[in-house]
Amino acid sequence: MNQNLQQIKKAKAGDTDAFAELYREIYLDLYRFALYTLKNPADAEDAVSETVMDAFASIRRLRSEASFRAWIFRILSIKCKRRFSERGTLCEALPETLSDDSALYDYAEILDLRNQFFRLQDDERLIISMHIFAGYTSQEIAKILHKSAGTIRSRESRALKKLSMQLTS
Amino acid sequence: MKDQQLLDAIRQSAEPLTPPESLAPEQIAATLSSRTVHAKRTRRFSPARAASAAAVLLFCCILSVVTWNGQITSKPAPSAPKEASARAKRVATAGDSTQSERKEKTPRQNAGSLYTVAKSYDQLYEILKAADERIAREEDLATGAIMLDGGMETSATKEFASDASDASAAKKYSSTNLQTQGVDESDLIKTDGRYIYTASEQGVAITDTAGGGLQQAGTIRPTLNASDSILEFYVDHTALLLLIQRHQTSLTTEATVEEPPSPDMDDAYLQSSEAHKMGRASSFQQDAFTELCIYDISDPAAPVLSQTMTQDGYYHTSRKIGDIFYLFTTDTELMQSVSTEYAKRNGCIPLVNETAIPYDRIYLPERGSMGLVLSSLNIKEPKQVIDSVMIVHDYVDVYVGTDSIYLYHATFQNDEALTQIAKFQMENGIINAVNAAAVPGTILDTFAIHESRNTLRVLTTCTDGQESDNRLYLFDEGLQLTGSLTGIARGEQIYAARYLEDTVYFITYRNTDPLFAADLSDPTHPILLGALEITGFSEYLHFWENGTLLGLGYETDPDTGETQGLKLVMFDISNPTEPKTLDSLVMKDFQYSPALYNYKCILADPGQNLIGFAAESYLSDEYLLEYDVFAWENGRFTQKWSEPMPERIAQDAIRGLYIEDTFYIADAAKIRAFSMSDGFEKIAELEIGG
Repeated sequence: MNQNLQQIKKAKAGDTDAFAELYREIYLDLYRFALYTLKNPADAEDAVSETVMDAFASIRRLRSEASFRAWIFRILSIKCKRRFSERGTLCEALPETLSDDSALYDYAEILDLRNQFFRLQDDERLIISMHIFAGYTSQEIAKILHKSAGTIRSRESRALKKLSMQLTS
Repeated sequence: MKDQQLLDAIRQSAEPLTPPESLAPEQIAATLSSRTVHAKRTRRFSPARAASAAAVLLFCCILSVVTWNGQITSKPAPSAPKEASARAKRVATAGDSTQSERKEKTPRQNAGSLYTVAKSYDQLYEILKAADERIAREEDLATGAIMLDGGMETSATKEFASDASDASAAKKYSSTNLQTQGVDESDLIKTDGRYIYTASEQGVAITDTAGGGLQQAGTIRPTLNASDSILEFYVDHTALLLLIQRHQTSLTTEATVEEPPSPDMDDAYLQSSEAHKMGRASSFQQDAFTELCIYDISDPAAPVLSQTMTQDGYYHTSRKIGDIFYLFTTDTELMQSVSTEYAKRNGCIPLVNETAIPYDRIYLPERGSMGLVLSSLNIKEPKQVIDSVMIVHDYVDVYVGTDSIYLYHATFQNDEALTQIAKFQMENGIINAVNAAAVPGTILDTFAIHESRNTLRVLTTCTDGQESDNRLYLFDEGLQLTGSLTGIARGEQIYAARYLEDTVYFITYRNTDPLFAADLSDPTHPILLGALEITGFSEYLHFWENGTLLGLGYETDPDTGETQGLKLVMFDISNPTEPKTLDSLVMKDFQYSPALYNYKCILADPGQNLIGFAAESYLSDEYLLEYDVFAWENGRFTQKWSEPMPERIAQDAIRGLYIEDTFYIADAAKIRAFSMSDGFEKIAELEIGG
C-alpha cells in the first residue's frame, strides 16, 4: 500500500509510468467490469480507455490517495451508466464469441453463465459488476447510483434469483 | 445456488477474458505520454468500434439481413392473405367481443414485408423456435435479401397539431418537456399549476403550493410487492395515471402440468410445443407485467383508484394523445415458451387485461425473439381496451408522432448499417400497419426522427469503414421515399437534431461543432442551407425565441478533442443559410448533466426565460451535484441560481419547475421553493414523507 501511495503521488505529479503501474493492478478488473456491464467488447474498450484518460487528467484532484481504486471505478461506473442512456438506438448485443482462453476452464458452463448474465437488465448487471469487480459494498453502490442501500440489495438479490432460475431451467 | 456462490461463479466466468491490446498497461503508458490519444473521438465513434464492426456483427441478432447496394428500391408486396379471426379458439373475455367484431370489418395490413400479420399462433411459435435454435447454435448471420417492399395503403392525411414549436409563452406553470408537442409523456414529477405530484418508491405524493407554501395534500400508495416498482405517471385534470412495474411469481408444479391447456390457446400451437413433452417442472417463474392505475384526484386529499389495466411485459414507454393512452411493453419471456413447461400451462401469448392478443393482431418479422406489446385505452372510458397488438422483434426503438407510431432498429451487414423503420397508424386508438422502409445508416439521436403532416423525416449517420457521412431521408404518408440528401459532413456524425416546420437543424461533430440547416419544403429535394463551425458539440437542441436555438453539450479542445466541461450555446438561426453563434457559456468543473440525454431533465422555457438542469462534477474526489438556472438576457447567458443537491439523489430524477413566480426543485424526497422575483430566495421546503 505504501508503494501504491508513492505511485499515486508520482502520478499526481504527471508521471505516466507511475500511473501505468497503478493501472496495471486494476486493469483486468476494469475491463471485466466494463464488458460484463456493457456486454460489448468495443463499448467496454472505449469505456475503459475513456476512464483511464479522464482519471489521468484529473488525478491531481484526488485528495485521499487511499481511495484510488474506488475513485477510478466510480468514474467507470458513471461512464457505463451514461452509455445506457446514450445507446438507445444501438442494437442489443449478445456476445457469444469473446476473446478469452476458456480452454482452461469448463467452457460450456462459463458460456452458459455469461449468456444468462447478459440477459439481465442493464442496471442489474451494473450493480452486480460494481459488487464483484469493483468490490463496492451495497452502501457504496447506493451512493454512486444515488439509490438507497436497501434498493440496491433488493435489486441484486432479485437479479441473482432470476439468474439462478434461468441456470436451472 | 446461494447468492454468494453465484456471485463467485460470475466473477470466475470473467477471469478467462483478455482485454484488447490497446488496454495493456504498456500501451496505456505510451498513450498517456504522447497524449495524442485525445485526437481520437471520445464518444460513440471510436477506432475500437470501427475495428470491431465485424465482430459486433456476430453479436447482433439481426431481424432481417440485407444486401445493400446503395440504392433504395421499392416494389409492391403481394397483399397478405387475410383470415377471418372469429375462428380463434379462445374464450372471449369481457371486452373482447367488440374487438372481434371490429376486426372482422377491418382488413389487416402488413407493415411492408418487415412485419406481416400472423395467420396463426403456430407461426409465432415457429419464429420463436427458430430464434431459440439460432441462439443455441451461436449462429453467425450473414446472408439474405433485403426487405424493402412497398405494399402500402395510403393513409388519409389528417390535420396535424403543429409541433417542434414552443407553445409555452402563455402558460403560468411548466410542463414536462416533450419529444413531440401534443403528444404527452409520463414523468416522475409534474405540476398542474397548483399541486406538485412526485413519484417515489412507494407511490405518488401530492403537494399543495397554494398560498406560496408547500403542504402535503395527499398520497397515493398502491399495494406493492417487494419486486414491484413505481414507474412514472400522467396528470390529466382530475385523473392521475400511474404506471407500475409488477412481477407475478408463480411456482409451476406437476399438479398444474396436468391441467387442461388454457382455453386461451390455439390447440395446434400447444400440440406442436415441445414443452408438452418436457415433463416434470417445479420451478419459479417470474413474469413481468405493467399495470396502469387510474386515480380520481378531484379530492387530492383522498385519491380514489377508479380503474386498472394490466399488460404483460416490461414497461418500454407510453404516450397520451388527447384522451387516448398508448402503452408499450416488452415481453422478454416469449422465448421461454419454447422450452418451458410454464408456457404450456399459461401460454406464451402476452395478455392485455387478461385477454391474450389474438393471433391476427400479432405482427411477425422473419426473425425475432421478443414481443413489443402495444395497446390503447380511452382514459375517459377505461373499462375497455381499444386495441392491442404485438410486434415480434429482436430490438426496436419507438418514436411516436402526432399521427403515427414508428418502430426502428439498426441491422448490420459487413461494415454497413441499415435502419429499418415500420410505420403504424393510430386513429383514435386503433392501430394499423402502414408500411416499412429501410435506409442506410443508424439514427443516433432521439430527435433525428420526426413526423410532420403524417410524413416522416429521418437523419442517419453511416459509418462504413473509417469515413462516415450523414444523410437525410424524406418519406411520404405511405412511407415511400420521396427525397434524400447524402454525403453531409463526412467523417462526422449526428449528435443532436431538431425539426422546425420545413427546416431541420442538426449538430455533427468531429473536433468542431458544425450546426447545419436544411430546407425540407420540397419533399423530393431537400437542400442544405448553411453550416456553422464552433468548438465543442451540442447533445441537445431546443428552439428558443425569435429565431434562436439553444444547445446544451460539451466544450472541447479543438486540437485534442478532449472535453472541457459542459457548455451552453445560443445559435442565431433567423437566417438559416447563415447560422451564427450569439453566446456560449462553459461550465468548466462540470462533466455531466442528465439533460444531455434525457430531455425530461431540462427545463427550457423561453416564455419565462428559464433554463434549468442538474449538473454533476465527478472527476475530483469531491463529488458535486447542483441544480443550475440560467436566463438569456441581452444576448448573453446569465446564471440566475445554483442550488447544491445532496449527493444521494438520483440526478435524472431531479426536476426544475415553476408555478407563477415560484421556482421549484423537486425530487422523490424533497421539494424546495424559491422566489424568482426575490433573487431565488428560498421560501419553503418540504420533506415528502416516505
